[in-house]
Amino acid sequence: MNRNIFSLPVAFFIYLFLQVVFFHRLVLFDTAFCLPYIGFILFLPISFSPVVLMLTGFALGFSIDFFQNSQGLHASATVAVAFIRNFWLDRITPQGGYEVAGDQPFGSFGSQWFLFYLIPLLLVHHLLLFFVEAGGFSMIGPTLAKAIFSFVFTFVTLFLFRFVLVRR
Amino acid sequence: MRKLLSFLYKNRALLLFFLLEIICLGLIVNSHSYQGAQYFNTSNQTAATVLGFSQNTRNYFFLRQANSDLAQENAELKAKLMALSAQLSISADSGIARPFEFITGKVVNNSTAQFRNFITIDKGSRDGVASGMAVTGQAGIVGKIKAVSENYSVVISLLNVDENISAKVARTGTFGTIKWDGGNPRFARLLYLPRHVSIWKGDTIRTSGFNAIFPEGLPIGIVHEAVLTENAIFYDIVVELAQDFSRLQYVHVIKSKPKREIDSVQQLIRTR
Repeated sequence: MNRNIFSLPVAFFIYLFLQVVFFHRLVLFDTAFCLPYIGFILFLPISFSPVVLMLTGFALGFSIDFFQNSQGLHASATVAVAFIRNFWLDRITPQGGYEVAGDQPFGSFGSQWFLFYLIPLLLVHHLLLFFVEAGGFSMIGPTLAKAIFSFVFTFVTLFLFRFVLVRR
Repeated sequence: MRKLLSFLYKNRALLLFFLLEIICLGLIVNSHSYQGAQYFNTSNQTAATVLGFSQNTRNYFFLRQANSDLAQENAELKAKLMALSAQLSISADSGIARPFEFITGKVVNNSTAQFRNFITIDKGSRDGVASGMAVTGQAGIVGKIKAVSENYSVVISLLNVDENISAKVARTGTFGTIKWDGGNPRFARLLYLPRHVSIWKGDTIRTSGFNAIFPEGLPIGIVHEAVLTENAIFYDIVVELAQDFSRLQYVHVIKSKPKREIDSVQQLIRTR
């Protein structure tokens, strides 16, 4: 796949548009939210520096907040994920390193690696997001339920995204 | 100096992380106050247009429901009109006639599942909407206006954990406060109802008219469950909301004429 630098801004707006227009309305039982926009940060090329990731994450989160009247909420969680992403990538380097694959999409390292990469970062994002939204731990039951169910929902959606990425 | 610069450069990621998170924190804290977040919200033209496109598509799936709701409201209004016109022939005090005006708006964006929910509607300052006005749906109250742009405004939903609304029990006239707990969007809580008052399941809860934002007597909901524990001073009351927020398509903004007068006369007392 040829992912050149110009396709990234396009992808940014596709993720943003889909999230705001479609996934934003997709709330199951008033508990499970679908937030696949975070996939944009998670699936950016491995060579990207944390500074670039965080600035992109801030822009993306801020735009999402703009549409949901939740100033700073998505931005803070997205920046946090962008910050820890590369540390986590360093910890779970697959056999032979990342050079083997070059700038290939994330789906090409195998399912097991992909799950190992995705699950903790998604959990961090969702827990941060919902606890910051609740403004602390006073509503811990419903908040935890929201975070976990939304995590499952987003995870399934992103896992399906992966097949689209690899096919191309 | 060079050491300092190299230190800063080395830790640029960490520093940027803290900087961005502090900006986010500032935005979050600012948006939680009633006066906050007047700018980056969905009363913005672009945001409202995009969300309106999405909401319009969704509305097609609920046309049948909307139709029957409107027909029912129509019938109720006709009945009310008959009753009122009978009253009108007796008293015709034009000085206080029509203290409230209604502006009907279409819902452009709505959420019910967050802890702090907002609704965007397609009426703005051009149509006479101003912040602080009350908003009601066809069945019960919805919230109050937070921010206004030329063509759109953002409503703080009753389903917002920061919102308090002064209410009364219609049967006894006792006052309490309606507050949503962040859980099920069909239910809210009625707080501060003292234990000596009687309350029944099915009692109607209405607005009290104390703050002059909401006219007195608008329906809020009915008592679903009332529990009084041994040592409690107040009841633990769950109210089923009259308005189903997930089906909200049209709302009425209430322009209250006496509001300014009530506010200014209260101000007079405070400054004495």
